Amino acid sequence: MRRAFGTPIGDYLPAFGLALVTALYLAAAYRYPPDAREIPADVAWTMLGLIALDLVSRTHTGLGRALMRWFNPAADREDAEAKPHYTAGRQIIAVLWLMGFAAALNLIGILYAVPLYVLAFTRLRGGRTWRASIAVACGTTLFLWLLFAFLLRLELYPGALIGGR
Amino acid sequence: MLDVWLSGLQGILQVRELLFLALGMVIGLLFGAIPGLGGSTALALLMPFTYGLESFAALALSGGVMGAVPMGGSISAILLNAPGTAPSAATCLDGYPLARQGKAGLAIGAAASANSVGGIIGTVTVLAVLPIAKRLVLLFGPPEFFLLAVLGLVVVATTSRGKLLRGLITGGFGLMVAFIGYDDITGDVRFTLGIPYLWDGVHLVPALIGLFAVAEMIDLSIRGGSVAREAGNVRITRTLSGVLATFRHWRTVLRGSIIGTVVGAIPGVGGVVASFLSYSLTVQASRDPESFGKGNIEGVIAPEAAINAKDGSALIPTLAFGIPGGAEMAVFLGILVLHGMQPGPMMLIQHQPEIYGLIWALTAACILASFIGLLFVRPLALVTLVPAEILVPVITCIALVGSFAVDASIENTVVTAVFGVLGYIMIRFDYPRLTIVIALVLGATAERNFHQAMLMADGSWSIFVTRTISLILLAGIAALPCLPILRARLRRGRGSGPVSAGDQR
Amino acid sequence: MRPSTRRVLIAAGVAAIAMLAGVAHAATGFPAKDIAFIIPDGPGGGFDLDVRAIAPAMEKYLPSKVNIVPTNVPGAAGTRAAIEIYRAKPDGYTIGIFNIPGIYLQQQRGGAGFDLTRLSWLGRVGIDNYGLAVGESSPIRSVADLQALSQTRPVKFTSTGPAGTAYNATLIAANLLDIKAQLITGYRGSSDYVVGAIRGDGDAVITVIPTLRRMAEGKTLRIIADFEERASVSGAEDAVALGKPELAQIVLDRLIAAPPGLPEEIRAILAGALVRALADSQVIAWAKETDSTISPESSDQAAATLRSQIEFYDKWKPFLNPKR
Repeated sequence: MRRAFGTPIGDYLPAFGLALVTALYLAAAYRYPPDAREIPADVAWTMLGLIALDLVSRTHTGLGRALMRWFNPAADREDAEAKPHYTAGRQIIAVLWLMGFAAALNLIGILYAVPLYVLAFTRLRGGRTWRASIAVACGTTLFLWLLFAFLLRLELYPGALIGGR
Repeated sequence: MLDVWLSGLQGILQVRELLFLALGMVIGLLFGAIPGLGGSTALALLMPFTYGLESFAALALSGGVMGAVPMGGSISAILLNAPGTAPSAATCLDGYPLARQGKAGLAIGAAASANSVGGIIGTVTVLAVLPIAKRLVLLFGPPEFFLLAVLGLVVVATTSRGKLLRGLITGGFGLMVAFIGYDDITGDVRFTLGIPYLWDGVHLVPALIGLFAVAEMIDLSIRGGSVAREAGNVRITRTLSGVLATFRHWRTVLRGSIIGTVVGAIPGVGGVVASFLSYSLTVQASRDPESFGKGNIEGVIAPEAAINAKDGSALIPTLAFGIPGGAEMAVFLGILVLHGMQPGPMMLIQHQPEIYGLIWALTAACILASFIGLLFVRPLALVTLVPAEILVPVITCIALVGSFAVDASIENTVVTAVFGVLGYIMIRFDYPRLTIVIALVLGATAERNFHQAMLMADGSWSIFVTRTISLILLAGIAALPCLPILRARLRRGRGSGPVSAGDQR
Repeated sequence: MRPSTRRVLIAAGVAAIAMLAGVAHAATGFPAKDIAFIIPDGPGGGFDLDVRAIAPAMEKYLPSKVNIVPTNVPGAAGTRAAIEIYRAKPDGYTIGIFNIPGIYLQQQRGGAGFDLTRLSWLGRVGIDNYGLAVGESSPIRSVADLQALSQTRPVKFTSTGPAGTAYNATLIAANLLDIKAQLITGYRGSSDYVVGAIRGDGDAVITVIPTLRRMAEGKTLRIIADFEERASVSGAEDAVALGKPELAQIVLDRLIAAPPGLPEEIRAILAGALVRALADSQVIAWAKETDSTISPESSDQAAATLRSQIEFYDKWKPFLNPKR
């Protein structure tokens, strides 16, 4: 990965993302009357300052290292330890599986999404046999149905595309 | 006084009541262990059944549930980083790393004994305080609640000393999220982007399930293997040493129990603050703060003691005035009303035996639930050996569906998923999760109480110094950041002996 | 007749009878499955207990044996539940309990997503009047004292946020009583803001009588006004004595309704079951034990109650929401 000030660009991304969110939050806050925006705006301004400090502390410049030593000594030491490194692709795929499941829950409902997701995950990502995957999928669905639908008489969300609101 | 205590005990020690206690306990354990369910759901489920029951039986049942839920929550927090109840999220911080090192038995043992001891200390405190409960509740108003919230935030912020900057950032983010929704003071609806679901703000339990359980499942699915790093290392036999660890670290237990008792009595703040505050203060007081978050047994004992101590004291505002300390207490209030026991000043006068019976039931359930947890340590700890390909989808399902079940909103699953990804990013890029939790819980409370205090005082800040308790709290807040410096200086002075004595001239 | 022909005829006969029975059941088939009774609160809240007490009684008075399942749909000050009931199918399998005027005030603000006037109203569970109280240790002894105080400074009332029912009741009542009021808003529940008044956060509090009575029993609170035409609380001035009979229109009704467009036969069955449930001895015993007021109304009366409350609050709208 390319580096800026001695640190891989990827390491800065969360802080940048947060800065963006905070800026939008601040813009939204100023549309509310003074009473309502007072404290959220104060917090947001402080956040922008802190994020700036954090960004600098992550660089390998002199100021950055100094900030790290004052404010994040433990993190400094942990960074020096070997941490397992995973490729961005692998992490994104894991997140996509989760998002896909959440989307399925909302679109086709709990009773369809759960077995589908468990089956797909154990079979495709886990490499288990069809029999094992189906067993786990059925077991999970049955457990959830017994607990929520049967015992708690909770209506399991049917999915926006099928019957839901 | 003693005779009332005894008549309460007598009421509970009947066969039928004990059976209901046991039933409540089992249900409490199960519901406590599953994220998204918990005491409030269990009590709501049982409420119709309590209809025909007499008061003591209903209270035995309720006490059984409320006493056992924390232990259930601890078990899933330790084994899977999936807090069964919101307060157990603090147990995840060191309990789960222990499980990853194959020491699940040790962690569960410590949790069980800390639970019991904390519960007992909480009970004793409540019994002592109950006669003056009314006066106590009236001492704390909006100015005090605001300062307490600030105190909580400061404690937690100064705890992440090793990562102060990042801790403050996540805390600030938590505050920003906490302000989303309908503002009780002005009536404005803020930061909801027009989404009706966000009217009540970001729901806490789904967010916590995401931050801890789902984030961990994402991490597990990437790194593979199982929760316990090396299968051969899962030592169940260390359970006993876990149980004894609580007594070795008696200062931690005491501290946790006191914090739990005090915080539990503050309505609307709840168990999350109790457990996280206890954890934070223990880290601060420790000689080796950086070992926390990596499997320090005190990191399990501290929150566990607080959680069970809070259960008893949460009854104080609930019974004295009908102000529920949280969702669980709100449902319990309903059960009380159902049985003709109107919470309020009269309750403490008219229904004393029943109240003491309840407190006995709570304590008994807490201790017995710990035993049951210990009994099942071996099969439970096997969960840490289940391979990721199977564990991840199953736990993710339970987490998301449980989060839906909190109040039957499918939007909760989106919150959980988003916070899951957020939690994972925080793990990956090294931002502490401790501060965001406290900020989420205390943010809205702090702001609301501040505005109320200002309305009371017509905008003058003097209200914070003219009230006794506020003044004490202010002093505490000012002193807190200085404590670590003081302690370090003391330690240096003690350790260095004659050399430092010379230096201090 | 050959044996096989006989068998065929018998089979045909059985089939015909079964079909006829099915048709008959379908015509008068309500209810054929569980009915959801929607509650705008979480479990344990006031409305929750009402429904859990009434539902089993209502089951007894339905033509066939089905369950009435109390279903909690909390959130957004009751609008979530209201929307769910409004959008449900009008087949009688979804009904709900409503806080009037609380939920109407949400509709009045605009963009709520439901129209209460179009719902099929089934009846009323009960009605609560409002009253005014001060902490036991307060020097205020009567409404006149508050009026005098408001000459020097605004009287501080503890209350909920603007979406709460007490907020609006407090503003209207204070205005009617010529008391200059400032509300300390933001309290979460009724116990919360009443204790606030006891504690002295504010000077006084206005809320429903049952809540005030509960606290007054413990000698922590003094009820100085009862906004009924004739006071049911001893020692409190009533609306007539205060010269403001309009105060008696500040009430909290608990009404039951089904989605718009409910067929008449189903409405009759549900409304009938509700009224008989409210007269059921078990429910009456429960109400006495829990100090709840049962005050039933028929579906037409309930619809009329709604209309009169809407009229009242529409009249006060400019005062309550000056900005909008």
